[in-house]
Amino acid sequence: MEKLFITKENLKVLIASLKKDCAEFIAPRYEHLDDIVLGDTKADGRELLNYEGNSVISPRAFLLPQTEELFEIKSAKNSEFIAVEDKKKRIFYGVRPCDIKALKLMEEFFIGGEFEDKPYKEKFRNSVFITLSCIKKCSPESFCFEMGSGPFAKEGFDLQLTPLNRGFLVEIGSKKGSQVIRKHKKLFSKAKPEDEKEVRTLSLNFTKGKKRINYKRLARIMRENKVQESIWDDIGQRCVVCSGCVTLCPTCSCFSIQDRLSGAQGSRFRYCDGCVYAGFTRMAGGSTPFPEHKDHIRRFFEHKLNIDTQRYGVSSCVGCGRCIQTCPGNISIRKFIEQAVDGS
Amino acid sequence: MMKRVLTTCPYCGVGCNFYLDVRDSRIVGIIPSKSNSVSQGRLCVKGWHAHEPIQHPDRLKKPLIKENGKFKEVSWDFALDYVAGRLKEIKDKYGPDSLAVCTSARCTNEENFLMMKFARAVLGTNNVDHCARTCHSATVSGLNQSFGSGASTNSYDELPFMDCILIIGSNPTEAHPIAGWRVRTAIDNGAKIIVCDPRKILPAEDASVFIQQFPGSDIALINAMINYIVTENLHDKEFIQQRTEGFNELWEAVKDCSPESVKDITGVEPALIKKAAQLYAVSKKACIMYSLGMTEHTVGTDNVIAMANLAMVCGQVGKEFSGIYPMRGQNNVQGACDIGALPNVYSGYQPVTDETARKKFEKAWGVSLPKEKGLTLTDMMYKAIEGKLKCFYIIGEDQIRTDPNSHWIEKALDSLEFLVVQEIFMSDTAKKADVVLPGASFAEKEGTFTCAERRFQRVRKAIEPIAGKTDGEIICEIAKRLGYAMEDNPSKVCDEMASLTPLFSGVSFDRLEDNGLQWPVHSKEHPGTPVVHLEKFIRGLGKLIPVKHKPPAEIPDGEYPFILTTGRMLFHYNTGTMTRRTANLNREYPRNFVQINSTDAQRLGIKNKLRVRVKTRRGELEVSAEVTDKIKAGVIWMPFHFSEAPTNVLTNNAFDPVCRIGEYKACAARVEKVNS
Repeated sequence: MEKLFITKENLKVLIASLKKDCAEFIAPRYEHLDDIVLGDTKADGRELLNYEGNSVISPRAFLLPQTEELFEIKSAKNSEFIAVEDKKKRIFYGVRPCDIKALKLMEEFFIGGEFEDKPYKEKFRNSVFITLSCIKKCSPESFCFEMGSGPFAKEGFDLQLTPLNRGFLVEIGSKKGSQVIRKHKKLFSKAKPEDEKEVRTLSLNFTKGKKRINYKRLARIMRENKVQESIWDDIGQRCVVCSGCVTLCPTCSCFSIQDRLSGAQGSRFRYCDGCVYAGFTRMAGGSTPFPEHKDHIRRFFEHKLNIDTQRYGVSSCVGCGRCIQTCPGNISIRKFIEQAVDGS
Repeated sequence: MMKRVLTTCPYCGVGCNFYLDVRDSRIVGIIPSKSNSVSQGRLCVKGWHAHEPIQHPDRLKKPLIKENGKFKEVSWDFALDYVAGRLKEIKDKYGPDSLAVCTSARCTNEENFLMMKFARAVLGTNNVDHCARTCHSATVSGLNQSFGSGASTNSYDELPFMDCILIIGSNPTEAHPIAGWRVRTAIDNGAKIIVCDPRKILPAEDASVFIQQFPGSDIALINAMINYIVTENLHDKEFIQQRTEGFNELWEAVKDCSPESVKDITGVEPALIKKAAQLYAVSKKACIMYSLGMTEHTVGTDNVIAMANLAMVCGQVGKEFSGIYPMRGQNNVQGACDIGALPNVYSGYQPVTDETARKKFEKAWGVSLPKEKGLTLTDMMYKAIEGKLKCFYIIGEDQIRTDPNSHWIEKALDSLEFLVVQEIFMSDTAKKADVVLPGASFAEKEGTFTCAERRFQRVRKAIEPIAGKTDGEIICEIAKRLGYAMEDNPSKVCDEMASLTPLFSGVSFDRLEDNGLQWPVHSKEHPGTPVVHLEKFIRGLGKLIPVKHKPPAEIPDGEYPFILTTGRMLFHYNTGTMTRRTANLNREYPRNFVQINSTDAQRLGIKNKLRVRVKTRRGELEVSAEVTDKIKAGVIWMPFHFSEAPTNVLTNNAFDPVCRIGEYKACAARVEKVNS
């Protein structure tokens, strides 16, 4: 597809116009000191047009919040309830390619599969995603290129911007994206050959010295149980079940349901759950298929690097590095991958 | 409407920061803060779920007054008038010392300051105390004697760079997980770990030396280490000479305490003690981390002094990358102590018996203040039973579930004429109250908490108080009804406490904005103090104080052959009012249990997961057994988070004579199979 160009000034005009067209404009912004967090900048204009690093939370925190009210229970006895619907139109700006790949996988899980998750679907369909590709590694822990999810998104975005010296290169990824372009035609121009050249240089700089991980081979190693037991022992010893990895991971989709009642009235919530808990698969009566702690955190690795590779053909670890950054046990999924591949 | 409110975690004393993710006045999640120096983007499982209990439907929303044994909802005005009226009546009838206030280590510094001011300036009594009595009062009394200051000597961020960390009576992984992260990093950086604990806690798996001593034998253990270090000439003679006093007296007390001589008391092989002593003494950068395993004994103060002796003898204190880290248990227990919610001191540990200090506070507050020390929380209970204490105003504490020997506490509370409890959930203690006032959680107020590295950090309001008032506002309303006006604006209260407290006179909300400040902060320009006692101890010379092993108040015998010790676990927090209302936390551990060594279990015919009865001289409980090799034979361990099977009906109300802390960590118990 033909690539376009927008100047920084015109991008500001575009954003101002897009803000009129949505309920929430979710963009990276500074919170305390140098914390960058995706948040609603519609009213305060604190969005970062271009930034280094990545948001502490991914768009998942908006589509599958940590706790979410599903319906209001009017009477538990008579099964009277009102569904809580979120039909807000959201425009996500500045989302990183790794997180876009994650959204694609989440879409497969919540919408593309056998069951359709209405609350997720509603929020997802009402959202527009504008990607900002990466010209620099966002953190020492990230490895998006190695996992095939960066520095540019290949699909799943509506628009993708790449920061250049003279402005931003623009790619259209969907109908929603072309609608935005059509509506704001005057703000864009055709990209010049030197723009594309600059992108190629950026790409070369980003990928220099990096090697793609053969995640199919990795999945095979895991499926054949060829990862040394001492690696699992070490990970088990380190995991203190903080749940940070499964809460921040852009592709973790597990949740549980809970009714919070005061008398006969209250709410039904869903809340993010995860495989790191012993209680996740514990059955009534107390027995569990995985009694050992190391096997709980192992499920996280198996899911991302083995099962999803079989299911979707790609690994659902997008290499964002969030689980590594937040782990109080200093567990690194990246180090695990290296050890698993080298040691087999 | 979406907002992110940066605040300080309400659980343990580590002081992690996170954002509350607020959408349309509902708090939907937690976002860690990478820029916060304490947590650096990490949280434990409790922190990650800290939003769940805040808007739980069980929250108390209206004041309650008991009528004919039943609670009735009343308006704020009615409740506050009634409480003020009864307080005045009791004060007029029996005198100010018939009243007592228990402040809350869960509340902010500003609220604790208001509460201690309320007790002293409005009620006219020094009977003010809080739960530090049952956790780290021994630290305050012990380290104060040794160093002149009863708080952590060094900072968290030195931990990853230590060569040796001695962890004794502390389980950082479970009780202080983000301090535990730093221990983990130290291990990854090659540090040698020494763990001394009756249980094989997680860091013990990576330890160079793991010592599994009997609960209550810590002084013997530490004295034997000192004995070996001096005998082997590994002590820091220059440090002892220049920085300390009392070495000869100390040596007199420990010279016969060889590792061999304490083998029976501690149950530890002498070779292990020697190895640990050697490692700690010769390491360039070594520190001691301890917690309630050391303090909650009838010899709690002496235990703390023993550790200070060890550190000074080896010169492992008074410099960077060394020192003693008392890991504080509650979010603001450090602050509640610092702010003077104690019966003997005003804020910044200024004694109430010191006339200059008292005059200063009298002048500032425009009243005359009581001259004598007040009662400790422990002694308030004794006085209540004796009939001398008539009224108790408790904020955010559940004594029945947290103090040793629940039956005895119930008796004390039943002896009162008037009990007010300010709480966010209906607790067992609140059920005993004449009036229950609904307080506010951490997410509903502005203020500061002080964490275990002496760091003041901001607490910020995310939602309006669910019951309408913050705890500080409630206290001020009652004070006003008793004819005394108090400023309730948290920032101004912070300024007031800074103006009266040389230890942190440089603290104010705007200075805490970035990453807080570590006291001492002597002026508005002072940058705070990461390491204390550099060059000189606060008391001048460090004092080596001889202490000797004394057995626990209750030792095992034929009828009660086990030592019962108790503690906190990763997924729950104290009485569980919050963690038991958090879905995933409660699912991990929904009920109480007892850990028992597999050889003991086999002897008694006890199988894993099966019901057993645990009995002490004070009570009994039926729980399931967790048969494990992680606990020393002859010792059993229980958590105390479960109000339907409350472990503190078993524990011993025997107390340290100096700091009045209870002996939670060692009492005699019996375990029986339950035939079903």
